[in-house]
Amino acid sequence: MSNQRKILKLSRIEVEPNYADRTWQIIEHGINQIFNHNDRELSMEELYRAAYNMVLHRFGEMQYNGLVVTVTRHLEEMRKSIESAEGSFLDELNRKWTDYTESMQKIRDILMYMDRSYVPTHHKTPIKEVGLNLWRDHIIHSAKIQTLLVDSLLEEIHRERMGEVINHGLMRNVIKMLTELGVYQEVLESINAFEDVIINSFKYLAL
Amino acid sequence: MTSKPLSSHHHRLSSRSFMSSLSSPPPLPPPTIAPMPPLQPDRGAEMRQMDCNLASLCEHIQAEGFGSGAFSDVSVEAMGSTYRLHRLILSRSAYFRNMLQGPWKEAGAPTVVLQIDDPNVNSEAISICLAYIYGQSPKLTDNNAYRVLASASFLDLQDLCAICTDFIISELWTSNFLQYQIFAESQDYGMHGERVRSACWGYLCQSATMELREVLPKLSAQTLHALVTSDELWVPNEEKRFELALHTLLAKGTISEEEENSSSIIKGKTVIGNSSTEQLMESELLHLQIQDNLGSYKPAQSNRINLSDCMAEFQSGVPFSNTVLDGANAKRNAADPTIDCPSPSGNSSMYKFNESIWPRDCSSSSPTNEPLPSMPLWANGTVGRRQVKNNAATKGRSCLLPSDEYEAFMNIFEGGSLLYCNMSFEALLNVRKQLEEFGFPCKALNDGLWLQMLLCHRVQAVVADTCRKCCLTTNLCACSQTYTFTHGGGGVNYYRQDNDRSTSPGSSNINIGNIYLSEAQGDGGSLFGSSRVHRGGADGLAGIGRGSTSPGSSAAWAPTRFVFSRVPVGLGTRTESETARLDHNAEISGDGLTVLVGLSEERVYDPSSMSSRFSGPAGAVSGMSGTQVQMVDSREENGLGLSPDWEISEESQETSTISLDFKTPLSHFTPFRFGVEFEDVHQLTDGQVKHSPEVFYAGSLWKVSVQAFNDEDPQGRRTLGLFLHRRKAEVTDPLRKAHMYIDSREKVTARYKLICPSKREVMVFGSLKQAGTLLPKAPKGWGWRTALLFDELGDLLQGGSLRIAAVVQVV
Repeated sequence: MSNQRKILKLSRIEVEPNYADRTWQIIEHGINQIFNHNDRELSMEELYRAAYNMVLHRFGEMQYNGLVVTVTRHLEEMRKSIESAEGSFLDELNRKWTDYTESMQKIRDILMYMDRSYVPTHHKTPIKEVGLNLWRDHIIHSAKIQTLLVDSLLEEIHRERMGEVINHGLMRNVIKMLTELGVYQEVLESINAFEDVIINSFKYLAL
Repeated sequence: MTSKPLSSHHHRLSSRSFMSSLSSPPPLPPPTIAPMPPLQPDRGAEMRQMDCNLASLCEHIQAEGFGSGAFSDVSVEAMGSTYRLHRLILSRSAYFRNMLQGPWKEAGAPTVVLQIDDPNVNSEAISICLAYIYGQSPKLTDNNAYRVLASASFLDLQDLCAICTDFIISELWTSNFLQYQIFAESQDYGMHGERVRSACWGYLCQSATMELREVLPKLSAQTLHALVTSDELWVPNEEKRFELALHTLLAKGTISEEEENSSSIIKGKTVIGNSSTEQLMESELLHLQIQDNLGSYKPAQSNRINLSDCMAEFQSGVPFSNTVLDGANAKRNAADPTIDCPSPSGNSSMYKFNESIWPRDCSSSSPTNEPLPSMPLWANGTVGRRQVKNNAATKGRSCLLPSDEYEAFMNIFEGGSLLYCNMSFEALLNVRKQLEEFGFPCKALNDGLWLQMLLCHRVQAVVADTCRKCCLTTNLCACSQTYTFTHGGGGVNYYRQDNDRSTSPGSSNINIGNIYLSEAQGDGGSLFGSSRVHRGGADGLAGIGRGSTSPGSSAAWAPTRFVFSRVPVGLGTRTESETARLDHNAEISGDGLTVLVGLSEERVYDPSSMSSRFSGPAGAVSGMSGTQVQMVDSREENGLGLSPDWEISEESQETSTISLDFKTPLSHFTPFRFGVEFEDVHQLTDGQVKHSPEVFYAGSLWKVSVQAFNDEDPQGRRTLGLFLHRRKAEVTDPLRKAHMYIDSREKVTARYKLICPSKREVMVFGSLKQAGTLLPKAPKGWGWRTALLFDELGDLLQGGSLRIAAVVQVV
């Protein structure tokens, strides 16, 4: 029984009242750095450990909600930046999208334990999907961006029809993003009149 | 009496396939160092050579790589040890892979320093995990399995986690139960932790009454409450369940005292002011008549708690905190608050309700404005007429319980965990005596007694209404059908009620003149707003049970909350107009509640705590408002035709009013739970049967039997069938005659479940959400021929015996 006693003592970790807050601040700082491209000096070991400890001590929900809030904040900044992009809207959108997916991959790395344990046992949406959903809700579903997106796409197609050379890689990336988000159909349907034109045009672009 | 089970309407196969998808791989298939599958003749020398090659590669990696650190390209420092390792091999773990290939500081570093804060992780466990990455099979013991699990969980070695979990589950015994329970409960190890936790739960349900009894006081309040409440807990009967809870309460008090003696004072533990506790407490207080002998007594003073006196002993790991009242006993004794329990049989002068003497909001009245952690009101002063001093010997210990513990026990004893209505009268007397000594208000218990009487009346009324030939209610019975009735259009609701409401309680069960018909109960809102049709008493009998369907087709119905509202005297509930009451009922009828009087005025009892037991069934039923529901309801209500609302006059003269209801369908009553045990089941020969002793419930005698079969499983495996038997009660023992009544029907419809808890899984057969099964005539039983497989019995038995918890509800 001496063994048991030891375990009991050990498993009761001293958790100060602000333990979770402090730990979350470490993680949040890491996430901010990742989004701000200051991640060269970040320690995965430290961030993973913090995230692991939070979930281990059943602060998984706090971490999960905190993640959503933080990512949303950064998405709002991105939205403004994309919306204010004048000439190169598709470029800017594509650049932000690439940044975003890379950042989310890193965030998934440090929050892996939450994805492994908290998410399945609490029937939450996995982080990858959360990331896509947030991007869709805050960027693609923004009225201004949606209009810009459709217009830009149509314009590109029109230009190509007129014999100009357009950036196929960029188009492909944007279409891939829409497909990944599951809003491809949705965005297309908002431009009924050109639907078949676009589908025809995109088929070879996307393939 | 040979019981030949009639049929098996639910094959184990379907549930098995479901279970097997949940269950883990078989315990400990150790990953062999060199995977050498049995050589098949057709594979030839080439394959054999390849296996050889693989084996030598594995050996090389382990010996040269992990053992000697040859060609190491990264060092890992963890828990005081340095390992010279290899990126390629480490990348088998997602943790290392992400770390070594991402944009991180560690990615290119020659040395990775791992700091692991989880105290369950130690150096040996890390070493086992790293060796596992290099292909070595872990050597698990009782002492390191959980440590390896914690380490593997941190390093994201899912396979190793599964191996550890399998080991822990297969080696879960009385001696180490608590350590694993706390391990899995206090930390989140994801699905592996959950598997350990559910294994602990199954084991606890199976053995809490016997082998694990002494562990109960050390469980968390939450787990303890869940356990005592659960149908899955194997316990012979409701009295034993109470004894178990009481034993735990006493033992907890003892533990608290012991720890107080040896404790170091630490900073006061902030006890979360749980609003539901306060709500509950507040509501309790409204019922407590406090005799204030001094007149100047200030409750706030006597309850002030000096947090510096709060003591907690953390050695046990369970956060016990002993709260000590400031000012100690002197002030309290001077004040000498007397707490009275409402008692139907009590001297009414003792039960004056004096609300003003006690603050409505306990926490705000505290001078320090701190939440009151302990609130051991119920152990403070004299209690009831028994005048038991709380500091008298052992009983006084319980007042040291912290508030979450207190709340758990309050919920257990008063909040619906115990189904008092299924206890015998003698047991109730005894239980009441003991609860009074602890100062529990005993309201749930009193309600249970009323409910018991009501159930008796209802069963007898149903019996009187049932054709003896065909076992159907009179309206369905072709033997004497004289009156047919067709339902009106869907929107028509009938409310039929005899004006004669002065029916005396004693004769009410044979008063069939009052017809209460409510077809649309499932519709919720529209229910009682319907037209009311006065109906003469003359055709009362003819109308019984019209519109019913065959029992099998009816949908599930949420059980009525078996709490009756209690309203303090003076709140004028009896003068409430009937219309208002009906409107009120309509609001809440969606929950399957019967008439609750005056609930909106005074939430005397916190319904949320009461309903917690039934939250599942109620929730499941909320969406099912179909005609079937209505029909069931109308059949049962119509068939009884008793006065819809009966106020118990004696009770109402005292502190509260109980509104019992004679239209309550049988399915609204609490189910009956009992536990049976079969010894040496594995020795049963084919066809051999074992019967449990019979227990009495709702006018019938019930038992469970097991029978061995060799011809039921499609794959030819031997199976063990589980069957429920029911026969009409016989009053043979004159001593018990007073409490026995007889349901003389040959067949009754019941819903039931048979639960076999074990650490492997908690197997549940049947459901209380189903419509009900027409149980065959005694001595036949009804159940599952292929419930259990003989080869699996080893995992399910405890000390060689099979424990089955049964839950039955006559509908």
